[in-house]
Parts: sequence; structure tokens; C-alpha cells
Amino acid sequence: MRHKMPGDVVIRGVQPMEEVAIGMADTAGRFDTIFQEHYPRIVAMLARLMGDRPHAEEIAADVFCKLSRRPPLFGGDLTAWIYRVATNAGLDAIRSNSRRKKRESQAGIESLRTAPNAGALDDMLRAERCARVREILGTLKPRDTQLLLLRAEGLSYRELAQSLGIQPGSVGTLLARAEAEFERKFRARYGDSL
Amino acid sequence: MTECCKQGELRAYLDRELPQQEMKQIATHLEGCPACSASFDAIAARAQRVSASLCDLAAVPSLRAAPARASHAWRWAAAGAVLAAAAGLAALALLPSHKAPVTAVHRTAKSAPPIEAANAVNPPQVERPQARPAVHHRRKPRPAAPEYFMALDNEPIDTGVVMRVALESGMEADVIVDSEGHPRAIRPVSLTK
Repeated sequence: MRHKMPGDVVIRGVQPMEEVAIGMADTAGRFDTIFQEHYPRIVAMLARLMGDRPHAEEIAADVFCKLSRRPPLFGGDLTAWIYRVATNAGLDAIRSNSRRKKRESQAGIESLRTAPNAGALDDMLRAERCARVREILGTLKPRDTQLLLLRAEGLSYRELAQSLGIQPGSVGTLLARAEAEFERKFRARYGDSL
Repeated sequence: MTECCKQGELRAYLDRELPQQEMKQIATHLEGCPACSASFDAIAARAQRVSASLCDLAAVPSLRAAPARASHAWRWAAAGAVLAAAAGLAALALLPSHKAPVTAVHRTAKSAPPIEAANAVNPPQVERPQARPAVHHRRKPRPAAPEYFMALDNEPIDTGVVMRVALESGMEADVIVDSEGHPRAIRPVSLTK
């Protein structure tokens, strides 16, 4: 199948008919369906990753916005594309947002100073732990991070497979690997058990 | 199944995400294969640890002074109300608003995770299970934890936090406290164990 592009560039490649249709009349309806089904999940996934729900909503909205304006003209799985873009955007956010870390650490110290009780210490330790988990998630392959986060949201293997654009039969293997990798990196970095 | 199980199969078996026949085959194989059985135990334990780590992330959305808040579209099944009436828990009298000594035992009180629009049709579910309970072929299955809170009134709850409290009797309970600080629903913890 050949597609004529501006400038006489010819791209050779097989595109499933279904995906070719995205660029055509069906776009709006398809977009609505995808939005309704996946927007809440993507927000939940990003909120867990980032610990900042408003920011997570912002990123998710941004991804869908991009999609609605300029549907990707490649053959492939649109749903998996959205999850991948969203995960990458979330990972970028947690890696680059050092201000957040600073704020968290200050909030922890502040809570110790203003409310010197056992709970405040617990809060601080837990925040520290969360920061570590997020840091490790940031070092995994995005696909592994996505899988772990969505599994934690309670998605079934079928739904997980859809979000990754893979067969449901592969989810067990990938999940087991992602968990092993997470634990290995956590131990390598922090030396203690999870 | 005579040949040994792959890691991925065991992981899917743990989540009961295999066809029924395969579930049975693996269960049978695990009975007779110490190597696979050990492997399964390791996978299950790791899955549990990783799941717990990721659960923590949802419990502390961000470290701000305010408690974790989650908007939640509550739909109270009539059954919940009936249960509340039937149980007639003395707990009602022990709730914070009634000046009974209530001690927070867990600052980790999990906020009710938001139920997204797509799930709004589900029955009220305060803590969505973060991972399916580990299924072990040799252990007896535990009774399922009730996911239902008993509503203390008939009003819908928009936002709230779940607090683990110890009642005077020594009993523990999860209480949903709304944004105005009023207890709105309760679930004795003993039932969830």
C-alpha cells in the first residue's frame, strides 16, 4: 500500500484499514469512545505516579487535546499510543519536578515542627517512602511503570493488554518481569527490602 | 500439566487471569512440584510487596497539610441502610461527634480513592482493591472482605476521608468523615479481617 505525501515522499508500509480510517470521518466518534473509557484511568494512573491529581488531570487533558487536534497518522493502536504518551509525560514531570521534592521535604519538616506527634513522623516517613517508590518508577522502562501503575489501579489483564497494545496472554510475563525489576532496582538503590 | 510452569503463567495464575482449565492444571502441577511451588510463592510474595509499595502512593496523593481528599460519587445501596439499621451498632454513639473517646490508630487512614466516571455505576466501594488477593492453592480461601460501608444517613456523600478509629470497646472501625467533619458511614474493621 502506498501513500502519496506532499513533496512526493512515498512511504511504504502496511497499515491496517482500521487505523487508516482514523484520519477520516470516523475520528470524532472514535475519539469520544476512547476518551470516555480511558481518560479516567489515565488520570488515576498519572495521579498515582505524580502524587498530584490536578497536575495529572492537566497532563491527561493535554494528551487528549493533542490527539483530538492532530490524530497520529501512523498505523498502530491508538489506545496504546495515548497511554504511552501519557506515561512518558508523567515520567517527565516527576523527573524534572525537583520543586515538588523540595516542597514535600519542607512540608514534612513543617509538619514535624507544628504537630510534634507520632503521626507527623509517620507522615514524613511515608512521604519519604513514596518519593523513593516514585524515583524507582522513574528509572524503569516506561512500559513497566505503566503496567505496575495500571495494575495497582485494579485493571484486568485484558484491560492492561489493551493499554499496552499487546495480547492478554503476555501480561503475566511482563508483569512478573516488571515487578522483579522494580524490586531489584529498589534494593540496589536503597539496600533494604520493599 | 507435566512440564513446569513459566513465570508469566504463575503470575497470571496468582491473579486468576487464566482460563479455568489452565487454572486447574497449574493447581494440580503445583501440588506435585516443589520447584514450581517455591517459584510461585516467591512470585506471590514479590507481587504483594510491590503492590503494597504502589498502594502507598495512592494513600498519600501529596504531602500537603490537608488530608487526602477524593471526590467520590457515592451511591448508597438500600442494603447499606438496612444493614446499618439492623446492626444498630452502638458504634454510632461512640463516633467523634458524640464526644466519645475515639483515638486515631492509623494516620495512614486511606483516603477513599476516587471512583471515576466510568465506574460510577458500580456499587459503593470505598477502597478499591489495589491488587487481587493472592490465591494460594494450599491455603483455604478467606471469606471476602465486605466492601460496603454502612451509611449513617440517607444523604449522598460527595467528598470524604476514611479514618481508622479505635472505639472505646477496643473495636476498630473505618469511618467516612465528610468535608465538614461529620461521620457519614462506618465499617467495623473486624469484618474486613
